[in-house]
Amino acid sequence: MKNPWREVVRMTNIFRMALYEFKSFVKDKSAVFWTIAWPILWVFIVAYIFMPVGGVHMTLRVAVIDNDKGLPSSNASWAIPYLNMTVKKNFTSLLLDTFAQLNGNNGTIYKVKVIKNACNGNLSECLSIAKELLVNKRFDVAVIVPENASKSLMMWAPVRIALLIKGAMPTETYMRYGSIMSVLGSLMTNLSMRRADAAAHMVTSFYSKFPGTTNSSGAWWNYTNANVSPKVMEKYVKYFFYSIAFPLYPKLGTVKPPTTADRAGQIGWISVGAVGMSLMTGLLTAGAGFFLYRKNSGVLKRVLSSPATFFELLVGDLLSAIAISALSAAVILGTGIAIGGRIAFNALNPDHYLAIALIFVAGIFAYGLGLLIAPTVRSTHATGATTAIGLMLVFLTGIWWPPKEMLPAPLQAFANIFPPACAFEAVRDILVWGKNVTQTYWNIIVAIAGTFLLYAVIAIVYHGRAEKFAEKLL
Amino acid sequence: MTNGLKYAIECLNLSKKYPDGTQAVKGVTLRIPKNTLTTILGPNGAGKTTLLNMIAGVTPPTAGSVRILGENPWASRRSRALLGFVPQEGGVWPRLSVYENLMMAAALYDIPSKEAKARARELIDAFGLKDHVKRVVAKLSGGLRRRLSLAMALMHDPPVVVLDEPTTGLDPGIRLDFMNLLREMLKDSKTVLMTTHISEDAEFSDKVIVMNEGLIVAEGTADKLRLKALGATSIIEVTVALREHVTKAHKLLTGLAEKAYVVQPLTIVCHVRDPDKALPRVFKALEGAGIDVKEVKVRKPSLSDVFRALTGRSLEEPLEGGG
Repeated sequence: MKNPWREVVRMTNIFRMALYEFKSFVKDKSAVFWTIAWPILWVFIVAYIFMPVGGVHMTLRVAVIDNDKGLPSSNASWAIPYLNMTVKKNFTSLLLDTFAQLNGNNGTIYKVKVIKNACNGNLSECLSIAKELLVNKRFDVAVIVPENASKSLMMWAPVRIALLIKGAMPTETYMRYGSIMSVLGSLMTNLSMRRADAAAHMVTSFYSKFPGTTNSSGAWWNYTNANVSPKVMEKYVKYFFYSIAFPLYPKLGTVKPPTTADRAGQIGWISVGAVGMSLMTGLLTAGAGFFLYRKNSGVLKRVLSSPATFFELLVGDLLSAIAISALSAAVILGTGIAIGGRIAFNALNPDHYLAIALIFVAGIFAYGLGLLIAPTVRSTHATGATTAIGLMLVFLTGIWWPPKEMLPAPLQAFANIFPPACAFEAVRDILVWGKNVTQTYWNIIVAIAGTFLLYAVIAIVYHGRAEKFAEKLL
Repeated sequence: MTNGLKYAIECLNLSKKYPDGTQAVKGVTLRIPKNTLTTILGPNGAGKTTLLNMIAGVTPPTAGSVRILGENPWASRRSRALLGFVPQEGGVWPRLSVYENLMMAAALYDIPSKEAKARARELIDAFGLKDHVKRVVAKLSGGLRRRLSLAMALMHDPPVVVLDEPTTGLDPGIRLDFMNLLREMLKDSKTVLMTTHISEDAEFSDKVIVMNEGLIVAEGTADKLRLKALGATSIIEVTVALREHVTKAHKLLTGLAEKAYVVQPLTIVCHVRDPDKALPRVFKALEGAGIDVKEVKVRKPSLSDVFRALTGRSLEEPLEGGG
């Protein structure tokens, strides 16, 4: 029996159909723009913003809490004439030099601020100051330099610094850890090399003082410093080797908000991030499809012929889109809780309600962006625009990986004044870091004022043109 | 305010040029008397839809003015409540039910909820939608969807209703029902303006406006148009049995009718003013000339014939551009 499909499937027909489908796509100007021209533009954006000439840079704000009392006087130890060879500067200066050397060369721009005499060498006091700097002053890393840092440096002892790294989520902590450790690692290698050079120099000096000594009486080990007992010598030798291996001994600590300190809190925050992402992409799509969805469902003409004003239609559409997004948010949060997440929401804290409102402000902004591109979205192919812009929104707001702070510097500068990014920054401050409104007021102002500004632009763009925009889809 | 007006719709020098350069409507002036059913007849692409869109407030005119009962729908959106619009396709929210669609229409026209519910019930009964109230519109037949679309246009009880090709794609029986429904609306003092390319539907109108290539070619009652375009009120179609008799028969009939022409290899069409007087003469002449006649038909000229006579083209033949 013949296989009926053998008679039906004809490759020439398939190719011809494919050709006409392709032609139909090519003739749709907006689809061509969003699927061909936009990706080209996107490549340029990525190339020059995400990967600018000179490399990708993340900014790391470092607070150096300097308690160092400086280098000891040259008669502090018999070993100083030797050890002095490795140390020309105090520890903090060497640290700052290393930051300066690596600045921009390892993918990070270091913004370092030295804070002197802040805690009089009291470690617990220093730690609480460091936490304050990280949480409220927007520093990412704090390095606490102890009082004896330079002395340890000179005495070839490990310099015991304390390191605090901020991170609401593990990814943030890891990235910052990598950035700061590349500096400390470089300093460590540098010091190890210097000490190794100095050690080699000392051995050479010793050999030149006792050349060719081979008999037992003249053996070099009979020549010891009368002032140094074997025990002391052993101690120095140990230090000698240890300090070559570990010139720096950083004690690591992280500053995590209690809300994301455990897995439940992290899942909770990821769920909030997913709500933000879904809200923004959902509302962006709704705005961008303002005309197209009505045209496709065949009601655009009826809507246009009604007395309903564009403003009424817009607000109605926005409210419906918000309701859909709220439903989606409830589902996301419910799922997050179901899989063990804990949402950092305190019903008794009025600021938390503001945080929720700010998530919606970001969504309303995304809807506005969608409205601005709506006149160009004239076919379902062109709705790809929303995916492209949605991706940008997700990057800029830092609600998904990577966090906003990890963005390349130019993009981060833009994100700092980008209303949805500011809205999410404020949400993060309030819900994650437990700040109050006054501590993040600038973000709130930028988020709200920026959204108003966008809608003012929309009002100007659409004024007297809404019907003309719609007409292009009729 | 609107009572003293003679016309429900007035368009003066209305033009529409699309951004791609297509001049869909070219300086059209028309006046639609109140409480009449008027049809704009023309082939696809004649500019009917664009004209209706400008009247309904959908497409802004490039030049000219529109008045609905004296109000300019382009100056005030609120004045659009004077008009109910039934778009050519769709016009209904496909995923909503019949009832929800009516309530949506009520929302567009700012009808208070209680009043809207009562009006929806009234229209559901009047338009035979009672058995489909909760059905999703996408699952309704084309005829029911069209009825719903009209019901939605009437939710706010507008004095003027405009419909764009309301019967396209409907079966003849359903088309007839729909046209009767439109005539029924005149009893409620409505003014109805519709477009069509189906000449039979235009016969239901009080006034027919013939449109071609963005211009109004003629207007009047169907009979007036027949007289104007064809010089006759009836058509006699004579089909001869033999091909060699066609030329001879044509010559004979030209002398007896206002106009005679060959349309098919064996058929001659004669336009006559009075068929009762003309028919015996035709038979006598053909018999006298020894011509074998296969068939003789007498009919009223269709508006399709009128359109052909006025424009030289068929109503069924779509035009380039326009809308």
